[in-house]
Parts: sequence; structure tokens; C-alpha cells
Amino acid sequence: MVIFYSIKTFRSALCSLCSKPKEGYSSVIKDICKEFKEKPIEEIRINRDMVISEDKFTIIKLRLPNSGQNLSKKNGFRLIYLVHKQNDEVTFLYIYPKRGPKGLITIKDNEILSLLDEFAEENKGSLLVSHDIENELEEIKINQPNVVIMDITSVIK
Amino acid sequence: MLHSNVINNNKVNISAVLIIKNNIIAVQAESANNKKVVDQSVDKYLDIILDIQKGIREITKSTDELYELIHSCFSSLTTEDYFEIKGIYKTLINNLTLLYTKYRKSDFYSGIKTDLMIFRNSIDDLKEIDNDLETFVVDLPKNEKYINLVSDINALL
Repeated sequence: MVIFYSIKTFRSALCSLCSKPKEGYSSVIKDICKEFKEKPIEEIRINRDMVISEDKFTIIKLRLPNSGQNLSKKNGFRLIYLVHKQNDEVTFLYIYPKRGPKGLITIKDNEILSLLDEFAEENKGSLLVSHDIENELEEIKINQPNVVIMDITSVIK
Repeated sequence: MLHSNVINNNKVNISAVLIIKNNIIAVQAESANNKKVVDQSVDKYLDIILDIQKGIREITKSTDELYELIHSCFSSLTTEDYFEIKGIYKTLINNLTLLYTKYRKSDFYSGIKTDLMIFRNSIDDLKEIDNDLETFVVDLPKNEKYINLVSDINALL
């Protein structure tokens, strides 16, 4: 079973996208879940989108549709995630829309570096938050002393 | 003035009516002629708009095809490949942007607004994939901070 984690920057970006439904990004959680739900890890690792492959992990920039706006993968969201090569673990690093008021065309080297830095820090401090992909990315409480529990859905609602 | 003549003199009345009648016919003819000229101009304008729309749609289609082609072979492209296409690719993006600006500033803008927006999105797509190639294929793998971070993360996982 694949375990999904996130770093703080990802969760902040997600909350920001969902905060104003009029901006047209409120389907983002549904679109992420739909993409990963019931997908084997092999399929998550092998991706036609932008990829950097390292010894133990792969960084992927995935194109996701924005179903709320009927936008194709090309025009929808961009999800940056890190996938472990040996364990069945995926960590969401960042998400942003391609179009609309918060639309971004490019992501720069230093932004990727900052995301990886944050991942390393949170991983080291067991601060990564685990999510239930079957249940709108609801956060899962893990029995680790340092795990921070933050309910994304409550922030959004 | 004319009104009092009409009342006082029947002869004046007849000629005045004739003159008025002739003038009405003349103005009517002029109006019909103007309408014809306007109709012809509108037809010409619509033909020009249709021609421009067709051109924009064709260049947008070619741009989209180029994007899909680069996207489909993204993972196999190397730094050397990127440097081989970089020059002409950036020139193409610049030229397409100039073309967009020309359309945007033209008198036909209101008639081609929607097609032009789609064309602009296609140019943005090319910019996005150029940035991705530069970031993911060329810059990050040789970035010292990135190399150190990768080593840290590999040790953590």
C-alpha cells in the first residue's frame, strides 16, 4: 500500500488554492486523489512528465487536470512530488495551477532546492504529514512523537 | 419660412413639395449607397477577421504539436540535446511572442480575442517546457546545492 506524505509548503499551497472557490481551483484535492487512487507504486514512479531520477528517489513534476474548470492536464495543475525507489512512499512537495489568477508558467531551480531542503528537514524531524488518498487527503495520525497533525480539510472548510 | 409660403401660395407649395420630394429621394439614395458601402466594408472586415482567425488557429495547432512532441520525449533529452535546440527554440518563442503582440495591438483585436488567448496559452506552454528542460535536465543536476541535498536525502531514505 502506497503511503502519501506532504511537506508544509504543499499543504499551505493546497489551502491557498482552496481558499477562494471563485478562483476555480477548488477541485484540486479531488483531482490529486483521482490521479493516485488505486494506482500501483510502479505506475506512480514511471511517469512521462518531467522527471529527475536519483539513487533512492525520483522527483516528478506531474501535470494534473483541473476538473472544476474542465481544464486538460496541459492547462490544469502542476504537482511536484518525490517518490521513494524502494519503499512505497510518495511525498507531495508543491502544487500550483498553470492558468488563472494564481497561475504560474515556470518553477525555478531555487524553488525546487527549497522544497527538497524542506523535505530533508521534515523527514529528519519526522514532521512529514501522512494523508489518506482515499479520503480527500485527510491527514492520518501516526504514532510518532514528533508528527504534527494538521487537518487540511478543516482549514479549507 | 417655407411653411408660410406653402400656406400663402399654391405654386410655391407645389414646387416646394417637389423639391422636398426630390431631396428625400436624393437623401434616400445616398443612404442606400452608404448602407451598401458599409455592408461591403463589414463583409470585407469579417473576411479579414476570418482569415486572421484561421492563421492564428493554424499557428496555435503547430505550437501545440511542438509542445506535445517535446513533452513526449522529455525524459530522453540530454543536456547536449537541449543545447542543440536551445538557440532556435528561444528565437521561436520570441518570434511567436512578437506575433502575439502584433495581433494584440491590431485594430482586429476585438474580433480575434478568444483565438488570441488560446494562442498566448500555447506560447506559455512552450515557455514552460523550455524552463523545465533548463531546470530539470541542465541546471539542477550540476547545481552544487542540489548535489549536496540529494546526497543528504539519499542518506535519510
